[in-house]
Amino acid sequence: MRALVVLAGGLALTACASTERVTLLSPAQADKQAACAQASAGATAPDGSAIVCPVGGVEITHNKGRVSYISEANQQAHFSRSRSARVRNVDEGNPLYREVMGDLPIEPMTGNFYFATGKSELAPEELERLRVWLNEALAGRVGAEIEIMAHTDATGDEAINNRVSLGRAEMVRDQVYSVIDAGGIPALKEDVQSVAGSWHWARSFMRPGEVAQPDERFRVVVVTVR
Amino acid sequence: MRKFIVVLAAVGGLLLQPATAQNAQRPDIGRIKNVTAGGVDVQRRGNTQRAQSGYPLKEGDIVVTGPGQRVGITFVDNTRISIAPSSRVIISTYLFDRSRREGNANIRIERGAMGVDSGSLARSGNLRFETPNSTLGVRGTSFVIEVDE
Repeated sequence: MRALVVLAGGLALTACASTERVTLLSPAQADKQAACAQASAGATAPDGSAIVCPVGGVEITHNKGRVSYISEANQQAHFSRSRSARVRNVDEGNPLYREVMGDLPIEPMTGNFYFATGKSELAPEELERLRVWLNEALAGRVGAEIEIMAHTDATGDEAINNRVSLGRAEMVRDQVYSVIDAGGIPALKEDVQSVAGSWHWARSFMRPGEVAQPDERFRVVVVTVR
Repeated sequence: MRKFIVVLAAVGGLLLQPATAQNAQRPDIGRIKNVTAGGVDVQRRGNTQRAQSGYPLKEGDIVVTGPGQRVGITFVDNTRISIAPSSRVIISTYLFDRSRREGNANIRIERGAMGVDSGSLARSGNLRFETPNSTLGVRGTSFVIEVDE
């Protein structure tokens, strides 16, 4: 009798345990999709190396400590509390996957815009380029936000670079506000954020021990629409 | 009695103020973008709000979709997720330093299905997802998680 109770309890627990699936798909980003198309066509990079489809991967650590890894498009790990992951290949054309991935928001867009020499604001022609770009980036996008991040080169002191980049970002934000006021961009001011990028981007290109040099390329404002 | 009510209201106001102020101080971590008509429920600190396109999300928010409801979210590191009908997703942790492009995030799906296209956080391996039975570490990729009850 006791054995029956234990068996029934075990079955009940198994029934309650959720079944889970993780399915790796082809990249959803346009630039990665382009690389995958080139890879499948057998294209090579300018240095002669083969172009690889950047599928990435997911490492699955099961509650029992076992680890599985999926790294190819259409690979699926299938598991539950009582069973560790089994990996198999599935059809990417599955309507559920198409539907779920089709519901992803529009991919964010990023553009670089440059300050006028010796100024912390965009010259009129660069501001016009930004206006045109923003109209394109905002088209069809719901719940949009505009991030304006100004950068500096890697010279000087971090605190000063923070202050300088924030000042530049706010200056460009105010220019964008003016364009919004003039009806040139279909956005609300509350959806525009200015961010101090400081010197971090410039420093990410430096080798260990390298001395920072003035570099005009980082006098840039990176605008992201998401 | 009137004095008592005034004092009670003042104390109540003081007690409520920190939570409101804390919410305002906590940075936005992403926004709801495309969403089915009528919106979806977002639970924040015990309160449920009906969220529409443009709704700013905070760390700790719980997004719940009912039958027929769907939602797409873009986070500040450009990670995008879509949540299928009848799902419950908890954004447990989402820390992202925009200027350094680093941080870490942990999103838990308790039931339903979710599509993911990872952004900047995945490059450092610091974008993680949890299900009832596993933890997923992500490296720059697109995938779907399904949790059947």
